[in-house]
Amino acid sequence: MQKIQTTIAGGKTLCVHAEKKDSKLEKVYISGDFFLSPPEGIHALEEAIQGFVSTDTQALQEVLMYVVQREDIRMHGFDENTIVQLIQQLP
Amino acid sequence: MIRILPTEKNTVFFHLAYDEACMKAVKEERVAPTMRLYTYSEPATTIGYFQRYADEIKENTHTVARRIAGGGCWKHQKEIMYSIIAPESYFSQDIQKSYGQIIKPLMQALRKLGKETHYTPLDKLRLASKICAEHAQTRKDGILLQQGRILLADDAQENTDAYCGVGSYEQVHDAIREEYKKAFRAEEGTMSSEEREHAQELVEKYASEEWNTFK
Repeated sequence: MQKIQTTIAGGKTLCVHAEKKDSKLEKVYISGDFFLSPPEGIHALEEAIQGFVSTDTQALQEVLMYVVQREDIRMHGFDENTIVQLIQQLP
Repeated sequence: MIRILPTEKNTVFFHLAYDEACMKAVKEERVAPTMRLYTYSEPATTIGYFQRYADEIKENTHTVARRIAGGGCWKHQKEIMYSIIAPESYFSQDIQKSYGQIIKPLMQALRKLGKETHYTPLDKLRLASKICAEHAQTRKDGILLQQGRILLADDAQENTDAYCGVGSYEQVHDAIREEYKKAFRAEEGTMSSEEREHAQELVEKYASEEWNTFK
């Protein structure tokens, strides 16, 4: 599993772990010491991007934004674009 | 009206379970919004909801449990914990502002003990440059839960380059309880038998490998 992380506001860590197969995201975990509510919203974000081509930034942004609105997810110090940027940096 | 519960020493699993049970009871308006102080009956490590167990727990020497709130890895030794459970509307909708609102009485209490602390967003309280208290918040179904830990001065484990304590248990406990009671106009209350029973049912979840290692 590949891992990439960044430091967000307040010195918090945001990390994306992912397995890719044929450029598609297979397993995805988002971890760190950040604030996100409701907590279960993280699983909805992780599940939503599985199967997407990791370089398709527009599709990833759209699906994450859709899930954020559907689940009424609130994040502090980062947003769905930060997650997409991290995915782009995965080895 | 906010109720303030008697300070209780219990296992880390019970305290985490109680906060979840209390959130449900507050949501269903079966109990008043709640503030409480508590301690753990044994050393423990808690990790934030979003943290990866394998990244944080390298040596499994203590009891480990995952919190429902986010935040970092806390190695609990001698300290006082607090939890506040209330409808989100009691505090600012802005995440950082709400942390500040809840931390303010704590700062005031420590000021009365001669400790001039400062809040560094999002969730740290510092004495000079060292962390003396940490906090973690979550919101679910319209209910806000903020958990925090205040380090005690005799905690040699935490008196490192990064952390420092703020006083003895008696001093800190009494000052904090008094200040929160005043700031929130809280009234003395007790844990209902239904809440305690629900918490006991949830203890198994917080003690389970499935919950603690799901990420």
